Amino acid sequence: MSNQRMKIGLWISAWVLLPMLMLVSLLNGSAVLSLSDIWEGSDLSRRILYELRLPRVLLVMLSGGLLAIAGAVVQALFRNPLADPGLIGVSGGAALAAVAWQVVASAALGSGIWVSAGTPLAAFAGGMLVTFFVIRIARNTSGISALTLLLTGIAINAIAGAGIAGLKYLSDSMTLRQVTFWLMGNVQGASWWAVLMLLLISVIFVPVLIRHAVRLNLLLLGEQQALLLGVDVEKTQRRLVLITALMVGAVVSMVGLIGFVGLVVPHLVRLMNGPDNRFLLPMSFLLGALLLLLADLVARIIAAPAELPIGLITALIGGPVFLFMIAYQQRGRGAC
Amino acid sequence: MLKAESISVMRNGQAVLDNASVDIRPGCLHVILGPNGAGKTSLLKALTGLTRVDSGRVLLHGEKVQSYSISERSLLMSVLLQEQSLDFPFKVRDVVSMGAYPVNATLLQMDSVVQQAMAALEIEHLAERNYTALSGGEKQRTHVARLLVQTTADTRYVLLDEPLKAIDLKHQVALMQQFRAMANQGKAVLLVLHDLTLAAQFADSITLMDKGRIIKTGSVEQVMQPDILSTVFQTPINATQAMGHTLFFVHSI
Repeated sequence: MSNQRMKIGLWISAWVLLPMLMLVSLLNGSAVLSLSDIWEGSDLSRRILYELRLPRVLLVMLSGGLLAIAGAVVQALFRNPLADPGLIGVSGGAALAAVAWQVVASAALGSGIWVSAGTPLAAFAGGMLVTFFVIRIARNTSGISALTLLLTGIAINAIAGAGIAGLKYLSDSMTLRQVTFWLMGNVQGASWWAVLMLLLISVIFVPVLIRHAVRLNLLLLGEQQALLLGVDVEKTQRRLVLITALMVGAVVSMVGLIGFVGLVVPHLVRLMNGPDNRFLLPMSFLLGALLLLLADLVARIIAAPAELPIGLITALIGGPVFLFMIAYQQRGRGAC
Repeated sequence: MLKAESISVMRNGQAVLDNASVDIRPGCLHVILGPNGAGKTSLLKALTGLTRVDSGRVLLHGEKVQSYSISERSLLMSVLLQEQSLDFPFKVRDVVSMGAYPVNATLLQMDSVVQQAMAALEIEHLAERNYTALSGGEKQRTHVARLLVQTTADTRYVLLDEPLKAIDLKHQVALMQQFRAMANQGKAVLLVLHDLTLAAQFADSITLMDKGRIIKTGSVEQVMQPDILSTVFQTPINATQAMGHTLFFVHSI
């Protein structure tokens, strides 16, 4: 029962904090606005609000939510709490494909609608390709090996890094600048079109993921045991890999590489309420939105009027948390 | 009836199952015995349809086991594999409740089924504990309780690979009595065991395996003869009678 109270408490605090943080985020930045600006501000302050800050706030929230829930699903699929779309190379693969598309397409087609519209598709394809590839390599007779998984991730990230560096070398200075900023996690150019795209993906696919929560719980027993309990393991895996790759690909193509959200957020939720995916998945989405919004706020005000890339902030916080998680796991193992 | 007809399973060019035939009949408690690597697990997995056979066929009610859908199979058979690899700190109650996935029941009905299963394995006091913090035997009892939840009136076959692993004597006996009761209700129960005396005490039918082949199958009296057992287990095994039971022991030590 105390478990139940914990869940309700977490839900309520997340739903109370989120709008408060949104408001703070809308009003703060290089130009500080007041509450009254929202409905009776000057033309300038209204433009700042509705053309710059609101789409940015929404884009950040949706990105954080999608990255976190995708991370939680990937961890259940791989049966490893250290799995993360960034660590196992999915984000890297998506980024490489997106950069390749931008460089090649802008050289061939100039700068048209085709270049920007194709980027999410390329990122999705890259992310999906890497996910299937990683599963293929890391799976052995007794399931998916965590060590192989992380080593494969290192290799893929190295390849993706080299590929991106090569493409940067080939690209003209304009594209180079764009690509560099975008790779560090860039939400400055948030457009309503990007918000709409991520919103659509969230509305359609987040409920699908949550509907698979019980099946994901059973998968944690092992693939064969899940099958014997009536879970169509292959179909479930295939479907979830596609959805998470789509989510990660879309986010990467819109805001670039934002690391550690998919790792740290589900971990925090598990610490608070255990590994049950029925709670973990929706709560990760919510907490992911909340924490990335907070990171974005920090990125905007810590060096104001200059802005830090959001990926820098998440790496600064996420890196140490990840180290702590590894150390904690090792200690648990050492204690027999 | 669940039936294996001369099935063979190859792995890396080696036969882990070689021309094995076995009938799993309702109302019967079947036990598979044999040394490590004899093919016991391979036979059990082939019977569930989990591994594909390279020759021969596995028939469930006269039809190929793989022609049944995954969910149909999970309703007809409840299976506990030897390896359980759960590394996430679920509550014991949640792990036991996972057995309810294939079953069509209301939440309230399931609650009482889960409670009964935990009572049967005497793990009620662990219900709110984290699974990962349990001892080996407690973990095993949690999984057996999960299997009890999956086993309903519609379940025809109950198959367990080394269910007594790491479990203490008291609970071993309680579990064997539970399996006996399931067989008496008309279910077909198949167990892979290592304890010869418990096998002789509870089984209706014994299948003795070695090197991927079935050496002998039949009643306890037919199969569990000291000379056959000694050859298969490559250990001098003897038997004695006490209080109406046959006890097996190793006589060189």
